[in-house]
Amino acid sequence: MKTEDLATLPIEVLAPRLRKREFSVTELFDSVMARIARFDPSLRAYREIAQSARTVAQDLDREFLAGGCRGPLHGIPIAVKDNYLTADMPTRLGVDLPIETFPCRDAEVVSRLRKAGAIIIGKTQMHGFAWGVETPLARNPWNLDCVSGGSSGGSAVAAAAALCSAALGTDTGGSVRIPASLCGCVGMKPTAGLVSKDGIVTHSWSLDVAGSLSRTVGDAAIILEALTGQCRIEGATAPTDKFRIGYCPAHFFDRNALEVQNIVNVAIDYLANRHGDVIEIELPHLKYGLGSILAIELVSCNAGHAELLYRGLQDQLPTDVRDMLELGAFVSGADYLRAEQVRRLIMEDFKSAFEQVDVVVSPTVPMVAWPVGQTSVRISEEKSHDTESILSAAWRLTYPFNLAGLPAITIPCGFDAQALPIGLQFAAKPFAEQTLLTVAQDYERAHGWSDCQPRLL
Amino acid sequence: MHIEPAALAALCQEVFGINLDRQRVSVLAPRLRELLLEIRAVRELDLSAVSPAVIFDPLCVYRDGEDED
Repeated sequence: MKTEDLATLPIEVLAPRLRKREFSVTELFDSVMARIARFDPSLRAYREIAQSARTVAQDLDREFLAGGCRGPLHGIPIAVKDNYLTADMPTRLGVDLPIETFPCRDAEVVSRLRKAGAIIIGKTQMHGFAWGVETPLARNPWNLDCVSGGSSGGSAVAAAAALCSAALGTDTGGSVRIPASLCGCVGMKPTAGLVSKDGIVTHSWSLDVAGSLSRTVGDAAIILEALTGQCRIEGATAPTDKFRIGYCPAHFFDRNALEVQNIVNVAIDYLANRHGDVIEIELPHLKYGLGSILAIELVSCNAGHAELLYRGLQDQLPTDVRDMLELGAFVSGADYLRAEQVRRLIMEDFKSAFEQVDVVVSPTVPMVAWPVGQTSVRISEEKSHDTESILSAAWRLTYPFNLAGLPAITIPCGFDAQALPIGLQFAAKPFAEQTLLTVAQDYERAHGWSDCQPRLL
Repeated sequence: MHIEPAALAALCQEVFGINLDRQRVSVLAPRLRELLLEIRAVRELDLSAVSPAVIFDPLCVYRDGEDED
């Protein structure tokens, strides 16, 4: 095998082969760095590479030689989003402004990854302040003229293009799952509160969740286990293991691009054959969900970063960040509390739904990656479908699970006619990560979409 | 009471942290209208018996082993 090919292997393949010393941690690290040197000038997934990372790789090789192995992440190169604090690299929230500084210490999950033997290889690009679905600098590895998605766009690009073995992102309304879907990789958002947020710069206290971007569901499970000490998938499911699959036609299936809808329908047909009937569920309060999450997110972000406005630094902020902070000042306290009441109703809707089903399935994003610079979209030619903003469309299918605090995962399920990836989203009840990962992995292994890799030039 | 535009702008900056000059108002106002319409759609619901999903827990600081996130 050429040295460079090592970088393209998933963690679940790399880990046993590293233990057998088929290749060294340093060889794996060098293969990833070779890809970064070759492809990142055009993909721009990274903000910063850790200067000491190769030394860490050599130290981990010495541990292996001495008979030590910390587990499946021993020697695995992992990237982290630029809103995770790191002791060896600055944290900038995806912007280049000397107006906010953050401590140089490791976030709790970064610390856990290092203890598990991972090499924190660098910090990835993100949409500024984790607000936005584009990540302007990072480009989609399947088409460099298209966006990577956001706000964890750099992490998605790095994972999809094998510029790391996996990456961490954060998900407030879809910021892990949207870029994962658009870039054709796996994006996992655990149950709110399951993974520590200590040392992650807050965007919205009650919505933010630390998540992973990886090439396979098995890799997502390995990372989740390292971060929480639980949720391992014990091998493939038996053919007789069946789960109750649900779908909600309203909201999740009434406004999607035709190709996305068709590809996802094929996936649902598979799920129906594999698990039995797909059950229709209702979430009647979800029609108020957008107002609810907007109120919560805008108020939280204003509260967290209003100091920048008070100091008169708004002219130095990216336009969309400034808009968000300023608009948040006009959402009243009463509206915020009403939003939290509606959120409760939406949670109760989901609680009822999960008495009927184990997993809810939907597309992840209503459309594929859009061209850089596009600001609005008309999802389909149907008369009832007006032009809407990219932001409004892109997070429609992901934010409900942030409001409800539920675990959700996106996995690749096909491509459109322009060879852009389409994502399939599964969600489950709180702390049912094992069910979620099992159903997703079963689909993944039956279809092999995760084996598809972008052709980088 | 008459307030000079410059003084009003300074007041808005101090109170809201927002520069509300004419150009900025023209940018924010349409977006604010759209947002508030969406946010205030929830007012059509009777929420009188609904507890907010996030409830404040001021005494948590006194309990041992509390998550510090």
